[in-house]
Amino acid sequence: MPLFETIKHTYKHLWSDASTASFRKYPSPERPDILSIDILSKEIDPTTGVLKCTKLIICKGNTPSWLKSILGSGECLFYEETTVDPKNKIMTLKTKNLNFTNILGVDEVCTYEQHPDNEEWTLFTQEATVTSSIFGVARKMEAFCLDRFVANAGKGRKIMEDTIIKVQKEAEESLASFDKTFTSIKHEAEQSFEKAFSTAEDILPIIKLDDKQSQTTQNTQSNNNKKK
Amino acid sequence: MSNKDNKDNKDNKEKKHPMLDPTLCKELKERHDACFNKWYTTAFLKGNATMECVEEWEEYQVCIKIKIVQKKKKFTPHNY
Repeated sequence: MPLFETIKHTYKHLWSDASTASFRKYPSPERPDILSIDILSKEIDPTTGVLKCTKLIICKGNTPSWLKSILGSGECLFYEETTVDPKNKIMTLKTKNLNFTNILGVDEVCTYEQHPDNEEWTLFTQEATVTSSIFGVARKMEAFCLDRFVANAGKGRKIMEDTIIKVQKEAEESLASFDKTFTSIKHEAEQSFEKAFSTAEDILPIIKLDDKQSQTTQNTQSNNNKKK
Repeated sequence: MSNKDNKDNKDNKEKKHPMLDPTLCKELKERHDACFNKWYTTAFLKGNATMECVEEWEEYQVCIKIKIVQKKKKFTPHNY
């Protein structure tokens, strides 16, 4: 009989910031057990505009002694499928274990969606299902995995908060840098315009003088022609 | 066989496929991830559904394929 656990949390940040942070939260010193996360494939559905990524997650198997005798102390491999729907502002992450599947099944579904009560917030839902088929220790194993899941979820929230703030800070710095560049270009353009204008003011009387002279010459010539 | 030939053979043996160098793969991953993260924020979330970072992706994928082969070897039970 599988065990279930659901956790809900509200991030008081925009969905775009939360979804960006989700891609960037690892590696993190808070979770040294996560050794690597690699994107295996990525594609965009041309009709819906939904991004789909698949990832390979490798974790250090830091299991208690009673579980080591069953699982060993090797690495744990997980397969994750991420879908991002930017129009409806929903990000879904489905994760399942790739090894020890004959002993233990771990399935996790996480969603980040725009909060129904406040569009400047993000509602995060995390659901885990743990199933073990080992006679005698199945319940103990499932309970251990769910306890670990809850503990890691707490760490995950802290990592997310830190990463969201980092993402926002980077965006602000990028905007400030753009403003600075824009102001600098604008200032240079204004200076060039002023320079061109003052040069024109210097040249204009000469041009006008030339015009007067050529006009006088033309008038003289036409008068001469009339006399003839 | 001359000493020079011996040296060349030794060099060839020691030269690994560049993608098997974990530091190089780390660099390629970081390069791809940086490009992907920038594209995700500045293009994809703003409605531009055109994939970018093609060059970075192709380089990084060579590393991934090697990594998967290594993991398969590690986790596939041997038939004795």
